[in-house]
Amino acid sequence: MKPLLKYDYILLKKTKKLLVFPILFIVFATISVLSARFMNEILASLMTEEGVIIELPDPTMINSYITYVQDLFEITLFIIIFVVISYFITDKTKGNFPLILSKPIKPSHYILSKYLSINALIIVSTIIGHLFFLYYTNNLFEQVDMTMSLVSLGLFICYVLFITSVAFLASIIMKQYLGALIVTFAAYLGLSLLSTFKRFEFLRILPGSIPSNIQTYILDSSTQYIFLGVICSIALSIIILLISIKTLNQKDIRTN
Amino acid sequence: MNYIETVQLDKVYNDQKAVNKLDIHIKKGEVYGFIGKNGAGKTTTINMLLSLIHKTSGAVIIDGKKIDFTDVDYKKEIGYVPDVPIFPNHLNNKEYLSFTCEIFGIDKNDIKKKISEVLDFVGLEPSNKRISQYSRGMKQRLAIAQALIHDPQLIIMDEPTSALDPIGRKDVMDIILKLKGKKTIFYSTHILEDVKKVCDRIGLLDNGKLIIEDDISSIQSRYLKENIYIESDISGKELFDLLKKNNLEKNIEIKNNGILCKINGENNGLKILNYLLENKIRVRKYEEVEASLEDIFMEVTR
Repeated sequence: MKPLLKYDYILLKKTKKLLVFPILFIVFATISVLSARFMNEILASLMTEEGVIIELPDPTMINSYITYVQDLFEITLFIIIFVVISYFITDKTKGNFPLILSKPIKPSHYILSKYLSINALIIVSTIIGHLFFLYYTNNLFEQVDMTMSLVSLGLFICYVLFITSVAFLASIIMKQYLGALIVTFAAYLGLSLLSTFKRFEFLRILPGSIPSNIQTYILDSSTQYIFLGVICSIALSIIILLISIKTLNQKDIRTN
Repeated sequence: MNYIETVQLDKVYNDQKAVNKLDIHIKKGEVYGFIGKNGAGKTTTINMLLSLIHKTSGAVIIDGKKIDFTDVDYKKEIGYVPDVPIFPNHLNNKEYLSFTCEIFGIDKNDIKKKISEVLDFVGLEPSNKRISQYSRGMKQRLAIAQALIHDPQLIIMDEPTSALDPIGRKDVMDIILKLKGKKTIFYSTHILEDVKKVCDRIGLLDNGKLIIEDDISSIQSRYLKENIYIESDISGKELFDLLKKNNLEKNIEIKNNGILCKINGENNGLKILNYLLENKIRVRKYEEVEASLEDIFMEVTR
């Protein structure tokens, strides 16, 4: 397992992902704070041009957190899905698989190494990005909430662990990048849609409800569903990884 | 003792048998030529030996141990050279070989020395150049290097020279010759010239079935009496036309200034000899011709 992790680390480094990911998170974290802080001015300038004047409440730290979380779960997560699928499926589509798996490598180790390496990178990048978010939020709003930060970060990481496991399974099942991308986005959208059915309480602990659970916590400090949501996401990630390993074991690595 | 053995090995793709009840036997220390036309089932067999694809039925036994698809330990004693080696584009030869060493559990202190030795053996130098910038021949040498670096007992080569230019092909053949006698080599190819150069024994595969398995000289002697060359006073073409008129041209072809009786040549040859004598045509040459591997290959796969 250790050589595989080292190999994946070198690949991440050589493909510049080690540099690009933290930069991506820093850029979006910074933009989130700036857009939250100056949204009123931006809107006001647009409205003035049309001769309409409206009064908007001054943005607060809460707006900064909400914008940051929304950006994380939309733009940043989309980019993560695109990159992660490419990272997973390249060995298969480029034909590296036979040479790698002709060596004494267990498919379970291969999958775990890829999964852990990319997630380690995403987690570190998220933390770096979040430090920038805290710095700018503190500068522009003169306060930060560390508990709010920890909850947002923790739940986002849980969601990433879940969605990357889905991406991994999709990469193993599907032959091409596009197919894997469609399956992963379908899972993402399907779960998000499920979370909108408020009538069924159990749906609130599914990974698709994580974004709204974070926002609920930011707005009224409600921790309902958070703990169970974390357990559910991690459990689902583990189950999906086990299915991925089993699927890889059942598949022909090479087809002629 | 057999190092590799398959027992009634089958692989079926979409109701078509790619490998059909295959029983091959590769002895320890020999170079075994696994020959067959494109699509005969050579690569499929290799993929099953390496557990890269599932077998439909049958068994693979390597070094006395029956192999299960999920086994990986047996691969510690195998070096694999694919037909078209594909490496991670961003690595250089040192990085890739270092990764290979670590996978095979080679001591950290020995890795640098091992890399230098094996690259020297295949005629490459440690370099920071990306593998993606290598020529086809260089990639094939590197594929051999990564297959040898852990000093395996068995090397499986899947048509390693098929896509190389003559120089690249000669270089690879020289490497195999250097390894001959030191390792068990399973060498798949359709280039018969290469087989003659390096192999101790061959297994000939056709439509997934093993047609022949023996050492080259035994196979050639088995087919020796099958080919009879006859030369007479008249030219080969005239003789052929004459035989054709008398319905004796079956399995006969014109060769040089005479004719070659193929398939059951001994009987055919005697018939023709009688005919020539009866018609007072002087026979200049009547001789057994050693069957080339090409002849045997053509004949058994016809």
